[in-house]
Amino acid sequence: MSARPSIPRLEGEELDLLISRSLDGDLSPEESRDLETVLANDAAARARMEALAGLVAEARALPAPAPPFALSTRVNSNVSEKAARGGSIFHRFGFYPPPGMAIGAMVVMGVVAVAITVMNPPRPVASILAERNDGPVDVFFQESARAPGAARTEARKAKDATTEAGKAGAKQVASAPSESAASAVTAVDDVVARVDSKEKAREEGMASRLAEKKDASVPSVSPPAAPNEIALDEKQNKLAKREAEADADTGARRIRQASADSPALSAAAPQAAGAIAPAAPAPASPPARALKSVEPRSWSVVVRGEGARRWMLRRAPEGRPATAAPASSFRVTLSPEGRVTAVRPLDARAVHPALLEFVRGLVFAPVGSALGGATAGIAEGFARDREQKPKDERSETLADKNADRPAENPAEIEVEVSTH
Amino acid sequence: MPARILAFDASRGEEPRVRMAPVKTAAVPAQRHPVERDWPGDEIALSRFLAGDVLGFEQIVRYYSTMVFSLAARLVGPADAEDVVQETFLRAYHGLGKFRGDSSLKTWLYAIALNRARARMGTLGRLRAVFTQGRSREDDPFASLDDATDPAASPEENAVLKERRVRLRAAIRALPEEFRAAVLLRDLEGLSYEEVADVLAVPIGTVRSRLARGRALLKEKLS
Repeated sequence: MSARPSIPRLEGEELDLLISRSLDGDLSPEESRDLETVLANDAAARARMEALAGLVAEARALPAPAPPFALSTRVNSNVSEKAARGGSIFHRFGFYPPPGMAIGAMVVMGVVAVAITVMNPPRPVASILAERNDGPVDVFFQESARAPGAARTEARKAKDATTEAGKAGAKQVASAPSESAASAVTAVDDVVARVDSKEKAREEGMASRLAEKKDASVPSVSPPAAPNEIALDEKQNKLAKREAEADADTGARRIRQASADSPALSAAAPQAAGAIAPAAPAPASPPARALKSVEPRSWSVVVRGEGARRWMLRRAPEGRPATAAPASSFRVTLSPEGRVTAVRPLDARAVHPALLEFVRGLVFAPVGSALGGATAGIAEGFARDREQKPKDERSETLADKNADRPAENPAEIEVEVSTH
Repeated sequence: MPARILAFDASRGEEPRVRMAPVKTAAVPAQRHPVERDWPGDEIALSRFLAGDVLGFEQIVRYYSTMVFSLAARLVGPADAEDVVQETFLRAYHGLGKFRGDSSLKTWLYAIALNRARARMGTLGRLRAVFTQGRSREDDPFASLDDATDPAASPEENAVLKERRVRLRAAIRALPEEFRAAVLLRDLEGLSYEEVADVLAVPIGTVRSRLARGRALLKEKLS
């Protein structure tokens, strides 16, 4: 019994694949044998093989397209023309920029330059020189939600105490209807508004009186007698205090009248008169109507000029300086202890009297002294840096200019008060 | 008598192991394009170019432009082929610095040309197809490819030959893109399986199957 060799069955794509590979000479000896066996036993497969072989032969006989004349020359000239701009130079350094990269880089650089110019506009040379020369030392204070002016502060305190006292008095609160409590708060607001207007009128009156007094008596503290210079004398202080007390009394009287209908408001009278509010028990709940709040704003006192090397701000009066303008400059004469003895506004415009009061209340400390506290070291460092900084040509020119000027009085400094 | 299979790889310079009598096949020519006489080879030309010598790139262009043009003309037609060649070598100029030598320079250039031709066929080709639809054969951009005649043949034979070529080219162009590229690169441009795989960035097995299916489809279209 003879063993018949197994005939592989190849159909469809499998046969096509084998035929295709055989036409390319890609078959292994085993695959060739298998295909031969199939072709020997399958006439259809043989016909398929012949047809595909003829097709491939015909395709391979297709003539290659003839290239146009001087194709390579045109390609070379085109490439060298488009890539000549620095191309071979870049290639020497192993850099092969893609097309348009140079244009893109230039566009990006232009955008960056414009952005830098827009975001940092060039400062005028004069301000740079002034800053180099003066070197201001800024001290910033953040004011909490408080009303400007002492009378307003006192009135607000009185109002709060009134509300608390009204809430603390259980009998009064229990007996008073809610309408009376609301009317009491409204009355307090009216009183506060009247006190404010009174305070303004008082400040204006005081300014006019001070101007009249200035004509009569020349201050003896500050040597250079400027036209609008104001010296601190005790008479003026007393006059101002007396007027403030009188205003407070008037306010308290009005509060008493306004609180005739509301017993809770009667507790506000002593506070409006400047008395210390009695210790009231802790409020059981927040007031029925929220009081008006003042936006917190910051202000700064800047010591300018040569004075910044010697003096720094140590303490400022409580409250926010009432400034009409964003910034006001003063020449201040200091006592050896750093207290303000004379104030002379440097601005041409009229200065608010309350601002003058504020400046008078400033206390300065010598730079580097123990009084300066923690900030003294910083100010000292500023001063030292300014001294040790190598001067460039421009600063030397400024120093020469300053040398021509007369030496400043060491007890006088220039102060700028500004609000933000 | 069983048919004997021609089993040799002409691209590797092997001799056929079995002589085939009945089956008519066409061996792949070892070199289908004229050889540049002063061609120094890929490595030398490339190193020259990378060193900043313009002559290196000019040699590359002179040697490969004919091959690239041939492929481009078969893909997009002779009219647009020169543009494809220009774009191919311009891209090659800017990209040769990143050429790592994983494949041959020839297959790298073919790959660029194929991509450029695809891009051109994708936009301009569709537009042109819209505007030339239903016109005479004179508008066929591929018609000039078959103008070559055999001087030894009679005019009738030349006419029949041209007609067969036109049909064959039309059938090749009608193939799906993946099969058409494989058939063009292997049967018309004479690339080996490995080179076709490099150009198409596919495994060799995929090249084999694409060729087989492409040839079968071609046979169906012509029958």
